[in-house]
Amino acid sequence: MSDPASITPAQSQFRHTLITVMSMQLFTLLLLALIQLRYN
Amino acid sequence: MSALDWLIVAAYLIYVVSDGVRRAKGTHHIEGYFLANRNLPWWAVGLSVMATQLSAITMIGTTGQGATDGMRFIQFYFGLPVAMVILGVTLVPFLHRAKVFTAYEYLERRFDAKTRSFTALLFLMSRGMSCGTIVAAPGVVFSAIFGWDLYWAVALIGVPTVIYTMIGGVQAVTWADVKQMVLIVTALLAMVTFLLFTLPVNPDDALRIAGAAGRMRVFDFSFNVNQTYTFWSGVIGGTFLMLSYFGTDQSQAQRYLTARSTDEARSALLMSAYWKIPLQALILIIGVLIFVFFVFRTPPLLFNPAQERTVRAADSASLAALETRYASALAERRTAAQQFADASEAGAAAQAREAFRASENAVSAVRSDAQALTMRVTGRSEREVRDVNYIIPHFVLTVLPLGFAGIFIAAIMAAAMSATAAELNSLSTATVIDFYKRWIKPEGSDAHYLRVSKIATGFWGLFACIVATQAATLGSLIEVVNRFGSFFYGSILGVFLLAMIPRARARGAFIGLLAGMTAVASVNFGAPSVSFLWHNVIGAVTVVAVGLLLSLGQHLPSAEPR
Repeated sequence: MSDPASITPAQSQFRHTLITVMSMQLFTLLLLALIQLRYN
Repeated sequence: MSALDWLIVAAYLIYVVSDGVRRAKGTHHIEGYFLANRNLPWWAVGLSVMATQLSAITMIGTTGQGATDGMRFIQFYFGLPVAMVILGVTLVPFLHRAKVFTAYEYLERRFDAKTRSFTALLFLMSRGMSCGTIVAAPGVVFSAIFGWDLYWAVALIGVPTVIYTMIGGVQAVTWADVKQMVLIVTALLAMVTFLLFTLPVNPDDALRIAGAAGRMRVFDFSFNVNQTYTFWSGVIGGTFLMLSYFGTDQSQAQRYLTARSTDEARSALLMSAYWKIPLQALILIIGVLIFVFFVFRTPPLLFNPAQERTVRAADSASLAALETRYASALAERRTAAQQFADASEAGAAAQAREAFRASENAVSAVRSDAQALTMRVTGRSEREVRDVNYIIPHFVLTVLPLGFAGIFIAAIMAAAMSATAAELNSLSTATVIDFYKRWIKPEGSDAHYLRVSKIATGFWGLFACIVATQAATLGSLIEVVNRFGSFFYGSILGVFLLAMIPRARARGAFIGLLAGMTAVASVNFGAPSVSFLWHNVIGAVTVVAVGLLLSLGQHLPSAEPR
């Protein structure tokens, strides 16, 4: 675990973006799975 | 197409060229010409990254695939977000901080000139050819549907692209990409909206019909290396493919090298990671909805009008017999689809679904017979008579209302031009930086290099157009080059992975590269049914293993990654 005090604003921004991107992917995959379950 | 549609296409072409030429102002150095002085905002770079990957083949081929094969192609992109995140924390900071013009330049700093020149040469060979195929794909379709000579179709796409790329450099390419992405997404959204309002059934029933025909199967969890599109080949093989493409291919590396900072370069890649799968789902769902549309409206037996004319002229009796069978199969399918849509009770719905599936199989059987007839009459292969790429153009030209067709044809051209422009720009960069400046004239003035860069862009543009016009005769050669390309794509990734391992040495990297290519070639010829997505995994892993093994045997001063 990195020391929170040593994280730069850019790193913090990157982590935030990363979490958003991965959440979006999980949401999309979940949506696609529901579509398959409903219509296939 | 109506005069208004042509006016829209002409307005698009004039705007994109004039805007690109305008961007040439203030570009007096090669850093500006190739890298926009490393000063572009992340969102413009991100859109450029997406536009470079999205070609006309995506617009007409992937939508067509959605119509014939359904949603499962989307699994191909499952590795993309993972690859973008890995690149964001590994290769992108390395390349960006190294202040290089090309990804291969970094390999000389880390290893030696031999590895740099070899990888750059492999890039020039494969991208030069693939650039031709990117122009050829819409060129061939346009020439078939509009009855044009292939030369004119290629010129319509190739000439404006070469002009703005040659004069305006990367500034013109990136800002044109931004506008082209807006046009493409607008056209796709307009198409979905139009389809949803035009279908005779509601969206829920439309998707139920598509699902009954097997078009809504997204995931395939079987672990079969011979199958191209499965969840595992997408996640594992796809990740390696995307790592190779976005990390080591100059046509993509150059996009994020133009970003203001390492963080902006990362953000640009993450933007693509964020939007790629939803965008691809949108493209495929258009194909699926067009399939449903043609369940209720009569589609042609052969979508390629040029082939249809040839078959009719050569054997009209056989074609007429097939058309009669086709009309009756379509009528049965339409009735079955309507009954399935109307069935509300579970038992009746299941029965109606089976009846619809049977009628769909009957339609497919007639289509297969028609393709067999086309193969016999034209003497072409199964791959050449497949008309997947003609489904969307047929729909656009015969169904879309006034103005819509022009927007969609302009969007197809935008997709072809954005992918081609980025490739021409990167081919010119690798030619000038990795060969001309490195080996022929290391001490030239900036003005001299700028002149040579523009000539190189023009040369590669001409080369791409010649390859595109010869697409029919060069077909097998292009296939050989593409297959050859798959031999080294993963291997080049392996070299870049080695570059980030401090213990790795130049000799290990070069021999590892050759070993990786040999391993992929052996798999390709020894087990040809293994899907190409796994080739990248095999190549990269072999290079890293062999490279590290050879490097461990060397006791030279450590070469730290810079």
